[in-house]
Amino acid sequence: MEKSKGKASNEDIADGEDKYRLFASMAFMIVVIIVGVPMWWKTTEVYRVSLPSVDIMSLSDAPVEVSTKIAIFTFDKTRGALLVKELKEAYSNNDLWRPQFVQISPLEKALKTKTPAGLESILLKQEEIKAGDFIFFEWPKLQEEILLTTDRSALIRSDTSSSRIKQVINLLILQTHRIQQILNENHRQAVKTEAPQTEYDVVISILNPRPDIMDAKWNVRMAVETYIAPFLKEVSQISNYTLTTQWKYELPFEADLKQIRDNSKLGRHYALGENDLPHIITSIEKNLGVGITAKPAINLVVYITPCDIAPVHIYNRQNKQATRQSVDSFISPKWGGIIIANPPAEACYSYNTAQQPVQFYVNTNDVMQIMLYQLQKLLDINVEFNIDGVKTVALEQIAPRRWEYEAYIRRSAVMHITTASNTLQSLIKLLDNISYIVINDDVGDSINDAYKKLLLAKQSLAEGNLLAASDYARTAFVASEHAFFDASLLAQLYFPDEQKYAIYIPLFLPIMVPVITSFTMIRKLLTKLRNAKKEKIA
Amino acid sequence: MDKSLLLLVALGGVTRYYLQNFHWIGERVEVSTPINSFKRVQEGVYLYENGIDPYLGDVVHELPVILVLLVRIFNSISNFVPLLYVLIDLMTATLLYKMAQQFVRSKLTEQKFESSEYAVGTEELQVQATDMNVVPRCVILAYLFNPLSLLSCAGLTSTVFSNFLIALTLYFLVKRHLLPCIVCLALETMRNLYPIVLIAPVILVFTQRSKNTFTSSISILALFASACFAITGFNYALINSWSFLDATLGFIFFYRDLQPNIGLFWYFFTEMFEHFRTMFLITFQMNATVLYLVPLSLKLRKEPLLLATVLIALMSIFRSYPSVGDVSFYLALLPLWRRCWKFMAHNFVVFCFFVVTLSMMPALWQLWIYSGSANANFYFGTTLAFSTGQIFLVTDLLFAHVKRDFCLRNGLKVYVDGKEAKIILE
Amino acid sequence: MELKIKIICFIALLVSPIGAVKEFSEFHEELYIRPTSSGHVNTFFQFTTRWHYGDRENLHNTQLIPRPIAETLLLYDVKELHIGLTQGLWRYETFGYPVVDSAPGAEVRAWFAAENLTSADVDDQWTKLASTFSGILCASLNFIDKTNSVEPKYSFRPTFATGSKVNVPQFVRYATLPREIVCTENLTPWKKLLPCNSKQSFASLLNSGYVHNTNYHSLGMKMRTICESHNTNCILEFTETANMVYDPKLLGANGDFSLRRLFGQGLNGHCALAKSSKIYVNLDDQSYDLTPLPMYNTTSKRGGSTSTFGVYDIQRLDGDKLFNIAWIKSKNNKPSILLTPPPPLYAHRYILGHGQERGQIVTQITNKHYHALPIVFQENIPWFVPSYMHTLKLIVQPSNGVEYQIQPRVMHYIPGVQRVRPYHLELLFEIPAMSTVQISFDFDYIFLKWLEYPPDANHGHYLGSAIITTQLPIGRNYTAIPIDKHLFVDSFNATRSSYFLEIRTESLILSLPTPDFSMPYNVICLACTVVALAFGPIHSVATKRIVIEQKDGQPQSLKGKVLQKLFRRKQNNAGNSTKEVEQHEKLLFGQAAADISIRKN
Repeated sequence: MEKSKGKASNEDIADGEDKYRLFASMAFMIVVIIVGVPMWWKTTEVYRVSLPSVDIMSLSDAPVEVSTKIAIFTFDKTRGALLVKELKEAYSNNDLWRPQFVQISPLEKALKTKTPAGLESILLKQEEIKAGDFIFFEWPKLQEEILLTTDRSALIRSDTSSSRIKQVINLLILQTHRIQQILNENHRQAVKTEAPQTEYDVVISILNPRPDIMDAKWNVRMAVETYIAPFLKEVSQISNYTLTTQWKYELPFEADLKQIRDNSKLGRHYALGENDLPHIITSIEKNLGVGITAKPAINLVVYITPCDIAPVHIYNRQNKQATRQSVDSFISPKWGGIIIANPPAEACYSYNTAQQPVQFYVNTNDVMQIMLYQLQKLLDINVEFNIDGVKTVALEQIAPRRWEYEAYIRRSAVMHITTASNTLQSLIKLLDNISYIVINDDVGDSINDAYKKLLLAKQSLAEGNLLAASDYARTAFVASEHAFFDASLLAQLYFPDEQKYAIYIPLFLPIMVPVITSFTMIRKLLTKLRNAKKEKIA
Repeated sequence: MDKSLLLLVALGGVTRYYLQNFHWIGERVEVSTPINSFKRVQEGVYLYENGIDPYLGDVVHELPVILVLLVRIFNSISNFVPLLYVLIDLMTATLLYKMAQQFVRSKLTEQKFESSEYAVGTEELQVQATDMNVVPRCVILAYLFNPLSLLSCAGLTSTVFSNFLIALTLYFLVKRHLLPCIVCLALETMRNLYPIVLIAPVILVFTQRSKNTFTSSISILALFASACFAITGFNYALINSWSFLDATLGFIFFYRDLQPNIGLFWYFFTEMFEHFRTMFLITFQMNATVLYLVPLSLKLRKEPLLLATVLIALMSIFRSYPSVGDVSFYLALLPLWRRCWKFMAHNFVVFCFFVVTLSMMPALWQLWIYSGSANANFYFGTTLAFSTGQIFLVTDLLFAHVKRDFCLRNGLKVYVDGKEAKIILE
Repeated sequence: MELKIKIICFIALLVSPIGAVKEFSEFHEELYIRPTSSGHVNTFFQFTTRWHYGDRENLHNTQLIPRPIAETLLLYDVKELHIGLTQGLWRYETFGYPVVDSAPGAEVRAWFAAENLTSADVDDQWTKLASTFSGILCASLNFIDKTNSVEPKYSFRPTFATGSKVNVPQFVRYATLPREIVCTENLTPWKKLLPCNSKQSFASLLNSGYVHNTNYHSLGMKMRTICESHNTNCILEFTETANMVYDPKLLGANGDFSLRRLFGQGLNGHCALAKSSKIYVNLDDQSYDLTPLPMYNTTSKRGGSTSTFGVYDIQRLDGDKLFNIAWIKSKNNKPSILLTPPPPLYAHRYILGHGQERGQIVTQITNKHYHALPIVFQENIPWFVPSYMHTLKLIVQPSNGVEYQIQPRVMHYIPGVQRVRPYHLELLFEIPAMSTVQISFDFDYIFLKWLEYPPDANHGHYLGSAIITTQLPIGRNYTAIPIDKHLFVDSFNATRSSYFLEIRTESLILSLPTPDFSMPYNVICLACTVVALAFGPIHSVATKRIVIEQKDGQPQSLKGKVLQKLFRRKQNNAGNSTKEVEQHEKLLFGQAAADISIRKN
C-alpha cells in the first residue's frame, strides 16, 4: 500500500531525472565534440590556399608554339609564290614554329624605287610588320645572296634559293637550335643557361692600383651616360639595369707578368698569360665591394695599368700576343668583363726617366667601344655567324640590330616560360610530399598569378605578338620565383607527426572515453522512455 | 549579530592589520599574481597620475573604474589604504555570515514542504534549527581566520575586492534582489572573466518561481549582458580608449605572463610547443568556464547555491592566475553543506594535501629562486599536488551531496531482500 | 625646449661652409695618441671621407666613398647614421672622455628625414638599414627590430642638414645589442671600406691580433649628409674611427711603449689618396720622452683648459722604412704629477638585490664640477625586464651634507610590452654641484617561454647601457670634435659656449630563472592528467544515477571480483531476454530484488 505510493513518486522522479541526465551528457558531447573538435582542427591545421595543382602539372603537356609572320617580296610574282610554297612546305610539320609566309604582290611603285630603303618603306606601307616579324625583299643588283639590314628586313638577290632563306630564318631570325636547347632543359639534357633576371646592377669599376704614380683623369659619369646608358635603355624590354660606377684604388692584378723586350718606345711590354685570367678575376672580385641590394651584378672593370708595368698585353696559350692595340680586354660570361687600359708610351716614358707621378687621360672612345661590345656579349644579344653569301649591314648606331634583339626577346620569353613552369611544378611536387609546408595567401596568390600569366604568355606567343608574350612570361617568372623562395613556406616544418599523439593523448583520451561511453547510456535511456510512453498508452 | 561575533570580526581585523606589517607577504607568488598584486596597482596609479596611459604597457590589469577610484583614495587617504583593504575583507566576512543565515532559514522552510518525502531516521541529514546558529558562525570563522584569506588580505591583493564582489552577489542572490546581484556579478566578470559562470545559479534562483522559465532566463541573460556593456562603456568613457579590454580580459584569456602561481597554467604554457599553444589555451579556458557549466546546473538545479559553490571552486582551481585568496573564499562556503559532511570520504586526504603542499611551496620556491639548488620542476610538483587536492575536495562534495539527497529519500540504510545494500553510481 | 633652438642655430652654421663649391672629394687619416693619467695609452684613429656629391643621381658614381654607403643613401631616407662595435669598458675617471663614445656591444643610431615620411615606414626602413649594415660589417645587427629599438626624444640631436626650407619630418631610432662580441670578422670588412688597402696607410697599424688584445677597443662608423638646398648640392661625410686603450705594463718594459709595441709593426707610409695623414701626440703628460721628436708642436686652448700636441706629418716623411715613435720614461724622473684631474661628470650602474625574483637597477651620476649641470638620462630597458616607475627615486648625495630626494624636471616614459616593445625612460633633471645623483627603480625577473631562452640560458640576458647627455661649461678632458667640423684637428682651439657631452654606463647582465628544458612532454602529460582527473568524476555525477547493489553480493578478494565479473558477463548474455523485460523496473527499490535476481540466477 505505502510501497505503491512510494513507487509511483519514485518513478516519475526517476523519469524527470533521466531527462536531465540525457541533457547533461548531451551538453558534455556538445562542448567536447561539436565545439572542441572543430576548434582543434582550426587551431592546429597547416594553412594552405587551394592551388590549381593538376593544371600546373599538366602545363608541360602543351608544348610551346611560336608563330611569326615572314613576308616575302619579289618583282617576279611566280618566283615569290614558289618561294613561299617551298618555305611553307619546309615548316609544314614543325611542332615548334608556326611561321606564316605571306607574299607581297609586286606593285608598280616598287619598280620605280631607286634605293632598297625606299623599297622597304613602300613595302612596309603595304604589309604591316610588327615586333618579331620579318621581311625578305628582292634587290636585283646585290652582290651577296642575302643582306640583313639592322631593321626587321633582309635583301635577297634574284637567284637566292629558298633553302638559303630557310637557313637564314632558322639560324638567325628564329635561332631554332638555341630555342631547342632551352626547351630541352626540362629533360636535363641541354646545357644549363639561366633565365635573364628582371633587374641587374651594371657596376663599372675603374681600378687604379697605383694612385701615387698614376694620376688618372676620366669623367666616368659622362662617358657612361653617353655610351652605356643609351644602349641599356634600348634593351630594357626584358630587364632594367641600374648603372653604377666606382673607383677602386690599390687593387693590383695578382698574376705574374713576364717582361718581354720589344722595339717600342719603352723597349718592353708585359705579358699576361691567358690562364692567369681566372685568378685575376677571383682576386679582383672579392675586393670590388658588394652591393646592398639583392640584384645580380654585371661587372665591367677598367684596369689602369701603372706605368712601372705598362703596357700589359694578354698572351694566349701558344704564347702569342692575343691583341695588338693599346687596349686589351677579356670577359667571363655572367660575371663580367675586364678592360686593360694601357697608358700611352710617352707618358710612361716620362715616368721612367723622372720618377714623377704622371697624368693619364683615359681614352673614353676606345674603352667605351670595347665595353659596349663586352656588354652585348654578356647580355648575349648579338649573334655571330658565317654563312657564305650572307652578310649583315654594319652597325652605325649604339642600339643592337632590331632582328637580333627581337630574337633575344623571343629566346628569353621561351626561357622564362620553361623556367617558371618547372619551378611551379617542382613546388607542387614538394607540397604533395611534405604536408607541413604552409602556403599563405600571399604565396598562393603569386602561384595562381604565375600560372595565369604562363598561359597568357604561351597563348600570345602562339598568336605571334612577341612583346606581350615576353611581358607575361617575365611576370610569371618573377611570381614563381617569389613563391618558391618565400620564407613562410618553412614556418612550421619542425614538428614530427608521431609526437603529436604524445601531446594529445594525456588530456583527450581520458575525456573522450566517458563521453563516448555515454552514447550507449543515451541509447538505453531513449528506448526506456519510449517503452514508458508505450505503457502509458496501453 | 551579537557581541561575540563583533568580537570575532574585530579580532580578524586586528590580525589582518597586524599581518600587513610583513611586506614579504605581498611579494609571495602564491598570494599575489600579475592581476591582483598591489605593486601593479600602485604602478597603475602612478602612471595614471603622470598622464601616461596605464594600459600602454602590460603591467596594469585593473579596470579603469577601480583604478580611478583607487587614485582618488590614494590621493585623499594614502596612509589608510591598508586599512581599507581590511575593512572590505571584514565586510566580505559579514556578508557571508548574513548570506549563510538567510540560506539556512530558507532551507528550513523548504524542508517543511518536503519532509513528507524524507525517509525515516534521516534527521541527521536534515537541516536542524541549531544550524541557524552554527552554520553562519562556521562560515564567518572559516573566512575570518582562514590563514589563506589572512595572507591574501595582508598582501593587499585585489582579490579582496573580487571576494567582496562575489560575496555581494551571493548575498543578493539569497536575498533575491535581482538587479544589484546582476550588477555586482557583471562588474566582477569584467574584472576577472571567470565569474561569468555564476550567471547559471542566478538564473536558476530567479526563474524558480516564474511560470515561463525560458523567457525569464533569457531576460535575465539580456539584463546581465546589458550590465556588462554598460560597465564597459563607462570604463571607455573614463579613459576613452579600448586598451583596457585587452589589458584585463585579453591578458587573462591569452595568459601572457608566465609568472608561477598555484595554478596549472604557468609551467604548462612555459613548456608548450608554439604549434599547440592556441589549442591548449582555448581548451584550458573552456575547461575553466563552459565545460562543466551546463551539466552541473542541470544536475544541481534544485541547489543553486551548491552549484555556485562548486563553480566558484572550479574556477579558482582552473583559472589562469589563481591565488590563495580565491581558494580561501570557496573554503569559507563549505560549512553551508554541513549536512553533507557525513558522506565526504576524503576529508583527511584533502586536508593533508593542503597542509603539505602549502608548506612545501615557500620552501621549494626559496630553494629554486634564491639558493638555486632546486629547479622549476619541484615547485611545479607542489602546485600540481595542490590543484589535485582541491579537485578531490570538489568532487567529494559533489558525491556527498548526491548520496545525501538519495539517503534523505530512502533512509540511511537500504535493504535488498533483507540484506543491506550499498549505493553506487551507474 | 632649449635643445631645439641649439639645433636650429648649428644647422645654419653647418650649411655656410658649402657655398657653391664644385664637386670634390677628399680623404683624411688621423691618429691621436694620449697616455692617460692611469698609465694607460689611448690611441684613436679617424679616417674621414668628405664628398660633395651635389645631386642625388650622382650617388651612383662613387670615388673615395665606398659604394654600399652611397647606395644606402639612395635606398633609404637615412640622413645620419652612427654605428659602434665596442669591447670592454671606458673608465671615465681615469681615461677622461673619449673622442667618440659608444656603448659596450653593438650600438646603432640613425636619423631619417624626408617629405611625408611616416613613423611606420621609418620603422620598416630602420630594420632594413640595420640588416644591410649587418651584411656590410658582418655584425649581427639584423637582430635589431621594434622589440629593442626606441625613439629618443631628448637624448640625441641631429648633426645633419636637409637644407630644405619647409621643415621635413625627422625621426630618430636607437638600439643596442649589448650581447654582441666584436672580433676579427668585424675589423676586416671595416677596413675594406677605406679607399686605400690596409697594407699602406694608417690602417696598416690595425692588426686584429693586437687590436683585440687591448683593454678597450671600439670600431665606429659615422655617416651624415649636409645639404644646402633640398637633395641638391649635398655633402656626404663618412667617418670611420677606431678607439683603443692599451695597458703598457702588459706590453712589458717598465711603461715605455712605441708604435711597434702597440700595433705590432711600425707605420708603413700613408695612403696615397689622403689629403692629410697626421699623427697627433698629447704632450700634457711630461713624464715621457719622444723619439723621434714631433715635427712641430701646437697648443690648443679650449674651454679654459690648455693642452699641447706634437704633430707628425707622415706625408712629409721620405724613405720607405717603417716609421716608429717611442715613448720613453724620462731619465730625470720628475714625479709624474697628475696633470689631468678627473673629468667633471661620470656615471656607474649596477643591479641590487639577490635571488631571481625582484631586483633594482641603480645608476649613479657624479658631478665633480662646481656648477649644477643639466642632465638628460636615457634608459632602454629590454621587454623582459618589467620595471616599476612608481619606485623611481632620484636621490642627491652631496659630497658633504645629507642626501635628499629630487623630482625630474621632465619625464618621458613609454612602458614596454612583453615580446613587443622595450621600456623607454628619459629623465631631464639638474645635478647639483659637487654631488652624486642616484637613480633607482625596481624590476621583476620574469619567466620566458622555453624556446625564448638563448642557447646558454644560464649565461644571462644583457641590458644595454644607459646614456647620459649634458652641456659642459668647460672643456677639460673634452676632446670630441665640434658638430660643425669633421676632422680631429678641428677640435683644437674650438672654444664654444658649451660642450655637448654624451657618456654611457656599464651594460648589465641579468640571469633570469630558467625552466627545465628537458621537461616539455612530462609537463604536458602531468598537467593534462590533473585536468582530466576532475573531468571523470564530475561527468559521472552529472550523467549517472544512483542504484543500489547488494553489499555481500560479491566476494571481497580481487581474484574473486575478477571471477565474478567474468561470470556475471556470461550470465548477462545468457539471461538477456529476461533483462530486457525487466529493464524499466530496474529503478524501483521495491523491485530491486528483481534486479539482483537477474544478476544472480
